[in-house]
Amino acid sequence: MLPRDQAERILEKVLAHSRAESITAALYNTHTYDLRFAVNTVTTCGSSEGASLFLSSNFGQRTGSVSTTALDDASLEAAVRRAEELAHLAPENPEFMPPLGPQEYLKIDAYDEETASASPQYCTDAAEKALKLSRDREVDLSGFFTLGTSISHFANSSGLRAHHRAAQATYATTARTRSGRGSHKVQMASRRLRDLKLDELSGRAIERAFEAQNPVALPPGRYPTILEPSACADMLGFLFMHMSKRSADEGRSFFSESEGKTKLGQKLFPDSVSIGTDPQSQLAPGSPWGQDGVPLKALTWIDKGTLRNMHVDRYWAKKTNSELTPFPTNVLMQGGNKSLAELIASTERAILVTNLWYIRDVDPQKLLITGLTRDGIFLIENGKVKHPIKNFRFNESPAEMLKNVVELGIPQRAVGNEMEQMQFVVPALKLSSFNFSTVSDAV
Amino acid sequence: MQQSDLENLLDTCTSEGRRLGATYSDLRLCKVREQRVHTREDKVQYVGDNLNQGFGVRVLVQGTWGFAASSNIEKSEVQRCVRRACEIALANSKIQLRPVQLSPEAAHKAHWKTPMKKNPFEVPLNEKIELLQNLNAAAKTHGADYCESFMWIVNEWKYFGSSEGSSIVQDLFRLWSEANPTVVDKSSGQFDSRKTLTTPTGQGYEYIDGFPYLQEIEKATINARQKLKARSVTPGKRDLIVLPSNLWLTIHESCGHPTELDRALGYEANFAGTSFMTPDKLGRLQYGSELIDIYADRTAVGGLSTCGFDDDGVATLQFPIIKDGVFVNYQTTREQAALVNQPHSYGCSYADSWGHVPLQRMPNISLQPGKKKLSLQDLISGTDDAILVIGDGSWSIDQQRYNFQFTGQEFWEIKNGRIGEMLRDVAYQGNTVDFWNSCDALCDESEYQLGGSFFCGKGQPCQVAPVSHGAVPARFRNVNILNTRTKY
Repeated sequence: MLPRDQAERILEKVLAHSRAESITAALYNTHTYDLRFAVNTVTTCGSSEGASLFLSSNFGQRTGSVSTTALDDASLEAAVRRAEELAHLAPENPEFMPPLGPQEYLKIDAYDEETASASPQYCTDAAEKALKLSRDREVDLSGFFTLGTSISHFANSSGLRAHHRAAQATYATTARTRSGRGSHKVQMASRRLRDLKLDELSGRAIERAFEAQNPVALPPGRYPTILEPSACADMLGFLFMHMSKRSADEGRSFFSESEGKTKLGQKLFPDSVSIGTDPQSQLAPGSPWGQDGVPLKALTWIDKGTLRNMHVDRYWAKKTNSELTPFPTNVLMQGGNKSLAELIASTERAILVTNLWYIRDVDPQKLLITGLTRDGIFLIENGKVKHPIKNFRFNESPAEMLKNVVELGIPQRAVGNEMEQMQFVVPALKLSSFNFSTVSDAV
Repeated sequence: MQQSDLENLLDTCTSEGRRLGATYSDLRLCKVREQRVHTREDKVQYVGDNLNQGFGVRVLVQGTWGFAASSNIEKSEVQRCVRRACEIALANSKIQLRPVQLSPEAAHKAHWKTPMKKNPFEVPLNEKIELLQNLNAAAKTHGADYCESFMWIVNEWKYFGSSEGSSIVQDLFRLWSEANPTVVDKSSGQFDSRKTLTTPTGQGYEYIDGFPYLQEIEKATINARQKLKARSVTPGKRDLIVLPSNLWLTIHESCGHPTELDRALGYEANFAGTSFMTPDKLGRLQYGSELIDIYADRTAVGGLSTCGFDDDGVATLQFPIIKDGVFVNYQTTREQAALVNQPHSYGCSYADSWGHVPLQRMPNISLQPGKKKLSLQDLISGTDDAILVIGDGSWSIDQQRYNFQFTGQEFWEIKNGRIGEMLRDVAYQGNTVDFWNSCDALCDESEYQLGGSFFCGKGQPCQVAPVSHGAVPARFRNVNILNTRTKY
């Protein structure tokens, strides 16, 4: 990794080369180590280290942007000249916003030296413990163990300077029974490597893969449902992707109302639904800044069921006299005080969904999305998990989902299958109804 | 870089690898240049050039892969990465059940370049901006409230050299440009859009020059307005005529992915999923009706995955996946070929950047035209009651590739051999084998078109690969139709 002073020197050189009226530059330095295994044997593993420079040069309202991984002096100057050339060729953009001046950012503890410096041997040893379980239990275990470190540096010609470093360890593991009739996936992330116990997580995947064996087909339809935190995270991720105030103001969003109005301020969901963001979350730290270096801060998006905020970029905030509200990098949903086991115990009849998969938009007007359950779905009856059931395709809206919340579990760090770029701390959701459209034979 | 510089780096990789006990090593050096322009209405939101360069080295030590990559292209960094890759391989060899065995491949010394008439990077930027702005303006003229458009051109230059003597330079080009007009009925709060039916392609700027963009944006905007007032579909079982602009994606999801050997063997169980097309079904599964021939082809002109050699250094080729409706082949790499008793790899290795390990990735996989003469007009004329599906929309399929659901850009009722009124809120849902066995008519080669994507996702860490799929209009019987507004 580039030492901080070297990275900052690169940015200062870039700014010094500039002949534009203003310039913004960011340098991202990343290091990853990945260990992947499948069917109980190691497959693809590797380490990758890179540094990328992103810069935008502005003349009036004209902007040209360049990114490059070539960081020698000649390449830096060439990148600046190219950005300026592009800016001269670009038409004026009436939505141009000048670079921000110096900003105050939240202090975010997102780094961990142990995560950043773990050796391949450490990772192999951790994976070996998980693989021993799979041999003992005669299942096929797959997994992906990845350690990532990123250091971000930001500078512009208006005097803004910023620096942030983050580390994250992630482990995802899937156990499949040898019969091919039971499967379960468990995934977890933390900035602290020591929080991830690969053998424990894999052990959970293995136990539940056996429990998921020989599923019974239930007819499609609407069922009371409990979504585990991973499934909740994926649904909420899609909700946030659509919470653009500009799209709502322009009349092309679920959050639009007729005659140019929006749902902002409306009570859309039950009182139990409160969703916020906090870059300083200990469990799932976010980023200190968003696009253009805009500071990120703690914010409530949905307060006791009422839509309080939607994301608004700098231009739209200025044009509509709205509060600047950057897109969040973490999502924190308030919950109740019941564990998943207690939620199940208090449920007469419901479907228990552990993971979702291949979610896509279907109808933005209704916020309808489709996807499938995966790697473990069960029928709950009389407070107990009765038996596994076959997977379903669902067609449902995350807004409809939140309307149907009847109870929430204890919030916990969750990793979904669809939203890699966001961090989640969310509860399991007990829903009065969730729409399962067809049965899938996939295991 | 000069050829001699590349070969010096390869020598460093090979000699350092051998010194550390590697029985195989390769060096892949990539320089990917991209140019993008994004606009909305009369505004140019983004103009940018990106250069992403670096190298990755792979080694086999004690039959186990090691990989290390860096954006710093220096001899000393190549040496460091080889040492790191060997360290990784050695550490992981203790959790390797079976040593990796590479299928044989001749050493190649070659240069390969995407055939094209007009280098898109040599076209002046203002010409590209003007095209997009004209599209947005035309959309507004025809009644769009909003219109976004973009152009994205890519030059993927790469060098592959191996300890077996291969030394290959490839210069690959692809581009994609699309516009998406949106109409809003402020009084009702309803909105809809219809994107242009352009496709990403492995061609030069001649594709842009030859595509009737202004006619297409007019049609797209008119269709978007029509959609607001179109009749909502009645759900139930219906026959479909699916055009290549939609069918390419169905082929991708329901044939391309399940015939990836790594998925079938369980290597993707933790992410992309496995496959219902397991090795015991090879040569036995009646995947589709007897009309269905589906071929893989990384030599196809204009294909997004088309190249001379894959990222194992294997010469690309055409091969059947489905023949007369029967599943006959998997996509393979050098590491995988022996696992299904193939004598050699089918050349399907690809990494999306210098920083990622090559994986088995999808070649261009295409539905072959029907052998009998049949135009789209003939097919429609011979159909009493069906829905015509045009353009790709939403897509989703389960992790073993049985259950899928697709929408599209336009849907039209076909009644008594004629195209009737427009329909909206349509999604078709099915099971892969049932769907392809319900195909009873294919148009001939005069109707053949390529579709494709820049973004086929797979692997951990996730990699995206460009891939094309050719098809002809095809008719499918008795397919489940949902209404996405009322019954889904």
